[in-house]
Amino acid sequence: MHFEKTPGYKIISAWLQSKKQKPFAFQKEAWEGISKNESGLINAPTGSGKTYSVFLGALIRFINENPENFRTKEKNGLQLLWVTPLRALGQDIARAMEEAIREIGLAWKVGIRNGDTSTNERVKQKRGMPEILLITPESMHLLLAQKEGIQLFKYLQVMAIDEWHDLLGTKRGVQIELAISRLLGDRKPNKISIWGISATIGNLEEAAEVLMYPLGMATVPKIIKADIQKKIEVISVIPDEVENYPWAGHLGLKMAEKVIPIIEASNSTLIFINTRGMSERWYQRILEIAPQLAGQIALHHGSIEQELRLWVEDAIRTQKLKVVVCTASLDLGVDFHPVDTVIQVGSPKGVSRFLQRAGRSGHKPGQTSRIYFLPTYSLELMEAAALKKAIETGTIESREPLSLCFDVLIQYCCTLAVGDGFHPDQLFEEVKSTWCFQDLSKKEWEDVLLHIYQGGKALSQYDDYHKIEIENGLYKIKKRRLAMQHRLQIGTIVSEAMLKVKFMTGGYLGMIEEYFISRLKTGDVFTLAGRNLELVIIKDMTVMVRKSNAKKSIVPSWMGGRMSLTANLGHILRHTFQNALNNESTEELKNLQHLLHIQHEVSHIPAENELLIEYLSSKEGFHLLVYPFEGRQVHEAMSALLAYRISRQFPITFSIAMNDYGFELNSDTEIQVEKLDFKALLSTENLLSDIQHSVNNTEMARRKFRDIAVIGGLIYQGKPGEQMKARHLQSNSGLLFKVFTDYEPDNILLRQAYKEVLEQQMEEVRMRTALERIQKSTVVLKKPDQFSPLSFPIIVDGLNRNNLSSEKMEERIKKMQEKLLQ
Amino acid sequence: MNEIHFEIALQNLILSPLKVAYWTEQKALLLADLHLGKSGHFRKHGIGIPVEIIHADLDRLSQAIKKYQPEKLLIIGDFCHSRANSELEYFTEWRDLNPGLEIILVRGNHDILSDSLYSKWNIKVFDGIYETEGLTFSHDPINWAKHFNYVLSGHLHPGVKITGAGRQKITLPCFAFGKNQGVLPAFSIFTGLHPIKKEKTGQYFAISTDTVIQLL
Repeated sequence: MHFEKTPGYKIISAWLQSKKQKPFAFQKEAWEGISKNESGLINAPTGSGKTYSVFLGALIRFINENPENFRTKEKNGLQLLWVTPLRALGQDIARAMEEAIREIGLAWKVGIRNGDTSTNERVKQKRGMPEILLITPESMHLLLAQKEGIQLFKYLQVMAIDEWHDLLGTKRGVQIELAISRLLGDRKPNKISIWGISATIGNLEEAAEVLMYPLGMATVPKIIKADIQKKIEVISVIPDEVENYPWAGHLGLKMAEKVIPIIEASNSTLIFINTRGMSERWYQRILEIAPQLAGQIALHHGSIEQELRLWVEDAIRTQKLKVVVCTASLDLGVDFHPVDTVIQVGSPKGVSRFLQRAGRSGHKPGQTSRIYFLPTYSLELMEAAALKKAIETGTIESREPLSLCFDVLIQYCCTLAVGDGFHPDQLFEEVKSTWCFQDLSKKEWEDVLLHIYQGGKALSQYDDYHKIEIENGLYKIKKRRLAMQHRLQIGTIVSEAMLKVKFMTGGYLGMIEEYFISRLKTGDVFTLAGRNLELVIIKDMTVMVRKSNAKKSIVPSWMGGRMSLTANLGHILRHTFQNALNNESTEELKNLQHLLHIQHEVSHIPAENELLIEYLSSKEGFHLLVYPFEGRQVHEAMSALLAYRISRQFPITFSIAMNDYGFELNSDTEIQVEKLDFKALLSTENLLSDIQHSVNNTEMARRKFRDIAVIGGLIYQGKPGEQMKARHLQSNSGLLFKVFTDYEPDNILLRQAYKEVLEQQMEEVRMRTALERIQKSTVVLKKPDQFSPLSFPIIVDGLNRNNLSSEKMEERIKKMQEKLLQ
Repeated sequence: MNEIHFEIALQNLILSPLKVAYWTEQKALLLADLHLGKSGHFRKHGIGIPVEIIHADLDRLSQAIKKYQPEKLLIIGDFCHSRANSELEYFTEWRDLNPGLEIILVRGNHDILSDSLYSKWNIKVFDGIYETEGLTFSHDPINWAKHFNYVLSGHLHPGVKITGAGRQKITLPCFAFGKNQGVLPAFSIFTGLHPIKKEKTGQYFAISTDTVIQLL
């Protein structure tokens, strides 16, 4: 039968028609795919009906399979599993689905499963699963940690992974890959139709392949593109005075006055700020200069209490708010129809993030998204010009999938061991069917098993190591306390040690980093959720506060990772610089002419095929500045590499600073810089071993180990904000890193830390590409008498410094002392 | 290996990079925060910490005994980490090899083992403050009063931050001596560092691999 003649299709399209809607071509295509039990990826922007493309497909399939009694057939078991990265998204989608089901007239139920689901509801779900379950990756794994958890998926027909572009390349994405492999492994031959839903990224084919990999090579993933072009208007906010010696973040707040007229001319506005700390400041600043906005402005970031955030999201939808200052916390998800304007403060660091944020405005099909770019320092105007260019040419970043995440694998094995247990040989095959673990060797698998079964190296004489028990070849965790501990640990999002913030009178405000609060005394005033709060006392992992009327307060700096410029944007940026001088074609470049001229006079403006290097001295010592424009992260690795290679020629200690445009090696002794062969120093020869040597001395692997140790179960965190209940089991990742390095250097999690440094932190592949590009470039060495405009922000921004030394520790300390005594 | 001779309250101490101090007048080896059995405690709870840690700590203790030939060993608290586990058998073996040594423990917050174990190992245990003729010992730093001698403590796991030109910084374990009280570094390798604030009147000795360095 032709698909459009099936009863399911007819019923659904009739229902759409009753709402004066017509199915889009991509929806029809997806529906047909689902009814044929195919799998694939749907590429559609938010607000284009992507939810319907899978959800209605599952309904059509059900109707077609039960044409007689589809209206009355109840208790069908779980039919559609909907994985979503955000809890808030789940609620919104569930509401829409329930409404549709009611109108169409089915007996289906919709359930939500996440960290907030009540115990009562959980028990109900276990007795009888709803036909549709909306779930987060973490809760999905929690279900697998239940006894007979896999039984809940017995009747599953369709699995949707929403916002796959956001999960791909993260450990949560790996959790999804593993969950799919488990569901399919339990149901051979496979009968689940798997659908990813993704916004546009550079590597859509790969994104589809990763998701469908456990289905086997026989299945060619289908990619369905929604042919919906979104119009985007980018407007730069030009500062009144373009400083010639800019430094990051300096300008931002001064520009706040410029946003007021934009807010006033718009229906409702989202202001995206890159960090939580700055968003607090912006919120206060806007209220100071535009008090008339009181009551119509709200703040939204990851440390604000969940209920308050949900209220804010709801208030945007119902137009109670005119403006919301937010962070990446609002990047994803729910549709806010009233929003017609977005303001991006500071560099978005990548084209796709910028587009995603732009897309939060003008949500309805056919509407134009309007985004204002507000630079936090004048050089960022260059980025605005580059972003415009990128959007024009459709140059969007890829998301690289992760491979061989042993921490996630160890956690997953324990998850299954807590549930029904696993047979190692069978699980090995299943795990290997995922994209992430396709290259898992037998040896590595044995290391993983060894790690969880006997806690590392061979058992010694007196050892109480205890975790897994083997029963007829089945690996199980039987001790209740260990099982409980593990269930609390499931997940791959590792947060800093956080404390709850509460009013003395009761009322929960949000979370704050222990690191920040430990530096405050009773009576100090700080800002959270837009309020000034006086610290009264810290007890039981809770910060008790009262309202304060103090004018001055301290804004917490949350230690979220700093975002780095993408290779894609870096490339366009280099190109933009090439033609910057005397180029008045865009408003941004016109306004930067003075700064560019100073850069040109004092030093040089690098062309696309040039690598600019500056060398100068100041009272801070000697500064070697290199400008590859590859983003902070690549610069971190490249600077360590260069420092290491120079220090092999003569003993010298550098301290390193960087931003997205370049990096600085700062030393207290002078270098004969003309004698250095920079091309040789930045060659790809021996890259791997040199990188490994250069990072050995740095903090990178140690920092990576933090998350790995938590995910891999070496650090028991408990629930965020809750007091550590396990007595005498406290340790920190730095200490663990040290003892593993000294006493079990081949530990599988330690190895992973170094691998992650190489692949993610150093971005080895990207770095190699960058070095190859540099080999083809001309090195331009300048010795300016003063700091150039390009160097200034790097010099000022000394926060992210690493040390790398080839000098003996004692000598180094002595030198520091001499300096201190002067 | 480079150690430092240091005089405080008319008593002579040798500060050793082995993270012990040798008290010459009393022929006593001083140390704090051995946290014996910590790795075993973690392992018992399903966290696979390397098993070598306890051997490394006990080996270093033997090394210090061999070098200074003390008559007694004075542990200023946190001798053992938590409740008993099998790993402590290694200490029983160690004790059998060093039977003549007098061991004194000033109880710390982690010392929760049953008294029978201490008597099995022939360890004298003191609660709170332990006073001798020359010095006073307390696991936690105390509210110093005039009738006390100079007080030596542990508990803090002190680390000292050193900064210098080129914005370099590094934190090292240290001995810290104030006007009336001093703190010893944590002995065990499986302990973290707690950065302390340097005071003008204080004297600080950082430990860097096999050297003790006085900070000026």
